[in-house]
Amino acid sequence: MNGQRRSLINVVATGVVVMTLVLLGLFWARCACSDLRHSLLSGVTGVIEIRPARLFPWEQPDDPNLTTASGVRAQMSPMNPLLAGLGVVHYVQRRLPGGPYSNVYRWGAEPSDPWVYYDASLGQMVYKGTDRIRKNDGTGTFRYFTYYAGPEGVSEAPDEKLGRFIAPVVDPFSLRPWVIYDSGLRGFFAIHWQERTITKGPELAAGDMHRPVQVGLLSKNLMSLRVDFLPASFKSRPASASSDAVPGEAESQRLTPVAVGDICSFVKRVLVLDASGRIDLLDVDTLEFVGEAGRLPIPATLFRSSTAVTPDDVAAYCVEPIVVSHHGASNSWTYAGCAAGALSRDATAMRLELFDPNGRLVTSKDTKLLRYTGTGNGQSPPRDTISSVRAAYFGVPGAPTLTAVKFALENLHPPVFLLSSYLAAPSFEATSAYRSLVLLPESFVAMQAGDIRAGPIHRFYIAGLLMLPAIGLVVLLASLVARDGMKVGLSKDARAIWIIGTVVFGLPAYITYRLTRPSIRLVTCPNCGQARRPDMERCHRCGSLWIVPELTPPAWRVVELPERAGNESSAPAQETISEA
Amino acid sequence: MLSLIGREVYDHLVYVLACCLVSAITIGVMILTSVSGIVQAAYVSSTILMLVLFVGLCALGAAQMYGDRANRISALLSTLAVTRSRILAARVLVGVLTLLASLIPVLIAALILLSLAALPAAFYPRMIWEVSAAVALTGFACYCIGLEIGWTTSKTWLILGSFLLVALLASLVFAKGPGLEAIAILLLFIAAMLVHTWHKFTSASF
Repeated sequence: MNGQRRSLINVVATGVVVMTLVLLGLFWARCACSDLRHSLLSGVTGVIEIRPARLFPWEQPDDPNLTTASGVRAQMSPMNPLLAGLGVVHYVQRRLPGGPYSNVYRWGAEPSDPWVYYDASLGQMVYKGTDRIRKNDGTGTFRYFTYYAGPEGVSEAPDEKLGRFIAPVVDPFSLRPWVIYDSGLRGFFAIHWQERTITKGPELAAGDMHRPVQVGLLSKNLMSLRVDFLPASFKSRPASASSDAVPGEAESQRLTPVAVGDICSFVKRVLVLDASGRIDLLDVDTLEFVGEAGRLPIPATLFRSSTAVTPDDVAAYCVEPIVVSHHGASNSWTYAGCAAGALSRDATAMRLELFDPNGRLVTSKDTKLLRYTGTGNGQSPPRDTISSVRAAYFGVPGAPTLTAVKFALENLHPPVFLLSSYLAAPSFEATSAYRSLVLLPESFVAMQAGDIRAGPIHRFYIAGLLMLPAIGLVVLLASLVARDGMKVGLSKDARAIWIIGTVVFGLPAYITYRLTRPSIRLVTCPNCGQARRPDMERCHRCGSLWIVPELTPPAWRVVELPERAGNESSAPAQETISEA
Repeated sequence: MLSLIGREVYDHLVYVLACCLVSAITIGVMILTSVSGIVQAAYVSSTILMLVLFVGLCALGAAQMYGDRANRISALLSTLAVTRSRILAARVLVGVLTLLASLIPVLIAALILLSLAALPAAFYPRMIWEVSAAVALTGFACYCIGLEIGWTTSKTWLILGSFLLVALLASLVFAKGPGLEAIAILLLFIAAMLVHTWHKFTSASF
């Protein structure tokens, strides 16, 4: 292996090592920045509450029996919600049995605990559990069973006749019945384990726009965001006062709204989340869509002003269905609407929306901060509110510094990756930003790429402006490389490659250059007289070879006339040559 | 080659045994915490002990190179019928053997404990494979960092650089998760580190 090839391999190896370490360092610096930003916001934007819910007509403000009206609340985790997107957490959620993305839906260490999982090799759902059997003598005993379910039926043994599920999306919450959507078979199925039957819904038509991604309990990163229903409280009615109750009291006592995750067993409906962000209601008996229940809320972001969000666009969401029980009528429940909360990509804003039973928006609320006009003594009244996103980046004390640090860190990133982030940002899942080393979907440049208010040229122009510090940095580094390359004796081609490499990869390329640049003692070029490398054939400055044509002095001289007269007798030979 | 490996093991026996000792402690802690039913403590303590093992592997690599440079071992060996590439290969093989001797018993113990305490391993074979590969590669990458850092005369850089780089590299698994992406990055990093170490080691004139 010659020296040049060895050197090239060394440069590439050093570059990979430096790139990995620099990207890791920048990643953790960005994480620390994000964590600090969240700590600035926590406590002031962690909760949104909508009360009264205005969902139940019997809860009138003038009802003297009503102490507190019902409402809904969205609560962000006190820990940084972005940590849920960290690679190791995401991995555990995806792979660990029982996690939200696992094929093992239920399991337990005890033998009596039910196990429900999808056996990919069989293409069938497996349910292992225990039944309590009553004997003739009145005593009870347990029976262990294992059921296998495919699209064509349920049996106690795996059977090809049961068919195969291809890509099932299940409701992990409710098992009676167990509703499954298979995106490969394009249809819904309801497994009735006790009866060992399966109901098959109609296949979605080829042109049908429904693309269900979640069934039943609709949530993402449940540890980051929770939505709760807050029931109303009424004055207790003394037994003796029942005769002189005020009008409306009887009705308020009769209907009690509750929020339940498993609405299936109450109202024979399940919520289905579509890939477009729409929330549909599915009838469990017919397995057909019976209406729209709402949409995922659009939390505020720094640049974006989207008209709809998909499940991939938000860091977390949670949908809480609400049902109403009618006292007196057994098993009489009605679907009353749902509350949906969503957390923005960078976890700086939350939005909570409340939908009526027909899927119409009743009310909504965003995270906002009060802006004070005083000098900081806390006595002056708040002037107005400010969006929590603006507050997180510019409003809260310390936020502008963090924003500047984040901006600086992003501009230290290799420009080629920053540009790629701009181009690829809209296709990234929201939480992937918290485990991405190379691309930065949460950078200002990438966030700006999703701003639908501006046209593509305007977006690119703004992105270019946001990348100006990075461009300035690489120009500076490239000029340093060019100057130093000349000084240490790099050839013209090598200098050009290093300059291009520095422009493309930025800081890591410059560090690689500094670590691998030749450290050879230079010698004086016999041609130009400047320092040149002794291991190169040609001088990198004048391009001459080592062997310079010998400087033989001319045999003639220019002699002035008086001198000639004075020296006439001493140099006859030279004179002869000069004349010749 | 075998005599070179034997000499490397003999010269750095303390580091090799220390790594195996950390491995044994990890197994002991896993068994104790599993028997007492503190599953979370088992995860936390195993993670901490794995980090200690990574530092130990880095120390092994650093000791090999630092000792070589300080005592000019490879310069002496080069006068015999052996090349610097073979010396480095023997050195790396010792690192690999130490890593395997430390990690395989932990993996076997973890598999047995998991099958006793939770779902059978058949439910998450991919997870076991990925986590094992990620841990093994992180350990080997730390060893490579030791080889790289050890070729220095500055003790301050040797200690600080080792801890800093090991912490940074171990954090890769936390950042990316022990999946295929992390494994690919680690493989690339290890290859680059070995090439760089080989270049540095074989270019040395002493």
